[in-house]
Amino acid sequence: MAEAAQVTPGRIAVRGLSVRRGEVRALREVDLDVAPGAMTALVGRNGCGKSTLLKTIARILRPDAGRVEIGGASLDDLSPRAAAQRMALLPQSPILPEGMRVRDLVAQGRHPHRGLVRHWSPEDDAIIARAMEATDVAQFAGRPLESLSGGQRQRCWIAMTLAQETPILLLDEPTTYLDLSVQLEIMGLLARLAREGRTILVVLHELNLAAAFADRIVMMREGRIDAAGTPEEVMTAPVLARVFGLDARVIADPETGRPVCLPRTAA
Amino acid sequence: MSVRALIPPAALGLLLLSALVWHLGTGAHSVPPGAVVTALLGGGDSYDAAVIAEIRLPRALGAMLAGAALSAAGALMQGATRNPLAEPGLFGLLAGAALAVVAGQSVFGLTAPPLLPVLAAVGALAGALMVWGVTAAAGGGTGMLTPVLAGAAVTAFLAALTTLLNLIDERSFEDLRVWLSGSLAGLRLPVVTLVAPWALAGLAAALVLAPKLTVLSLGDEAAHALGVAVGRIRALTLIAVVVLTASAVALAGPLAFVGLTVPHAARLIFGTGYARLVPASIALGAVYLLAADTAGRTVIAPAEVSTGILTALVGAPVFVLLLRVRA
Repeated sequence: MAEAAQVTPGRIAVRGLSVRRGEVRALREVDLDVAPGAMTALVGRNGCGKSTLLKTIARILRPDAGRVEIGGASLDDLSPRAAAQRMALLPQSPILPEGMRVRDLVAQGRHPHRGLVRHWSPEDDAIIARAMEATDVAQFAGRPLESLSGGQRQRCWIAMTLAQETPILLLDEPTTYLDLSVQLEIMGLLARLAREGRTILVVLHELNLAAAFADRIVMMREGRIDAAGTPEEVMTAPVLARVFGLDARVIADPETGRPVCLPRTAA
Repeated sequence: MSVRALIPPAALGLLLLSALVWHLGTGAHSVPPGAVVTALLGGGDSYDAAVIAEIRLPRALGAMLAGAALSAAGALMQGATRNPLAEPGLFGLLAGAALAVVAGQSVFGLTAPPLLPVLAAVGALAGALMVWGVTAAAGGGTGMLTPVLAGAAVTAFLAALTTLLNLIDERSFEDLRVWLSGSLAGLRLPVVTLVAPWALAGLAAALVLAPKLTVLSLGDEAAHALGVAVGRIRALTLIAVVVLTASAVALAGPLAFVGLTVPHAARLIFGTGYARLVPASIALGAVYLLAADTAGRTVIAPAEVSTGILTALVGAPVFVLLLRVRA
């Protein structure tokens, strides 16, 4: 193939990224390449900069130095709409407008693809229907969001980001406040979406959830990336001690072979 | 578009037409609905036609424009601030516009009719910025009652200044007294044609902004990620709201609670999406003020109750109800 340098639309490249939040240097010259078509989990202690990194990639925060490229294009060169056609975000606590129906929420994902001239098309309807099928919320289409459980609602939000039809999907702690079984269900859904070719970058609080589902784990500490690699590579006792201040053993899940972190709790 | 989708706009159109015919037929010289339609089409009794074309039609057009403008402004403000209590009156825009008009006319002698909407716009913007400033100073960005309290304080302050100016200049006070209570009485066609372009521009902007406001209702971060330039949309919304408020004030004086009552009534029927809510509010707002103005001319006929008094009487209970349900 001649186009060896061909860019993947799902590629995220972070170069020398620094962000201040007030007096705090939340990110310090971060470099990161997010693997396209795979799920990468961003983990670390509270205040380590993982959410700041995600929000800067999503253009919600502006960097003080450095840059982010998605699909080979610098974020600075993209209009808000062009960026939204390449990358979707599920914020940590989006607002749930009272009375909004599931289908209407999912339809908002089509917003970046609409203009003043280009209005609704049957193709938009088909995309919305597919997004609801993929997240198994089609049966709730006509129901108001507040009538659904937390996990069902979260699947609706994910359906909205899917309707955006972007190669990249960013999620900020999508499993927080959910029951464990629902957390597993959401992570399973994200893993499937990654297998289908999307680049997924997800901030997670729960280490073992990251290790069980993510293809790669990026561990952050004090505004820097401390370790990055496959779960097997980074989930080691020394790394956990350094990044989380955790005295833990790491064993392999007898069924999946994935690493599991067992903190020492004995007094 | 399916036939079912055409029912709500058709029903609104019919409602608007009925309210218009009722409004035009009501008064000291009452005209039956059939004769109103004939007169509008240019036929029938010449006295009826003259009364309707020269006296009542300007007033009806003014009522429709003012009602549509204030309702659109309220819906836009509720969307941009995500505060269900946002509307031009409660957030200080009406008081600012009223003071600017009174001060402009009595202190600076700016009585030329074309200046009326300009003065109102400057005042509405100043009132909005004052309320925003007080809210920010109170550190209450998220509470939905903080801007309402700030609006109450700013409105009291600006209304005191308006009263002061009126006491100093009693002659113009007589002229402005009725206008300040929110009235369409004596509205003539030149003023309506002068203000109509402002109102129509504001309404067009409201329709364009509406789908962005639905996205904004998901939160700033989500809206940003969906390609909405959040800051720019808020700024454009503020401009549209100021223009809409100014045109309503120029036509009818400060009409309380219209921007609150109508969008919330529209929400009950048309749901929360702004792409439907804004056009529905525009149509219902026109109907609402036509009805209020007709009622105001009927209840103690031959005397009139100012439209603004009626909208306040209806709107205050709506406000209390919203507080109970939403706050």
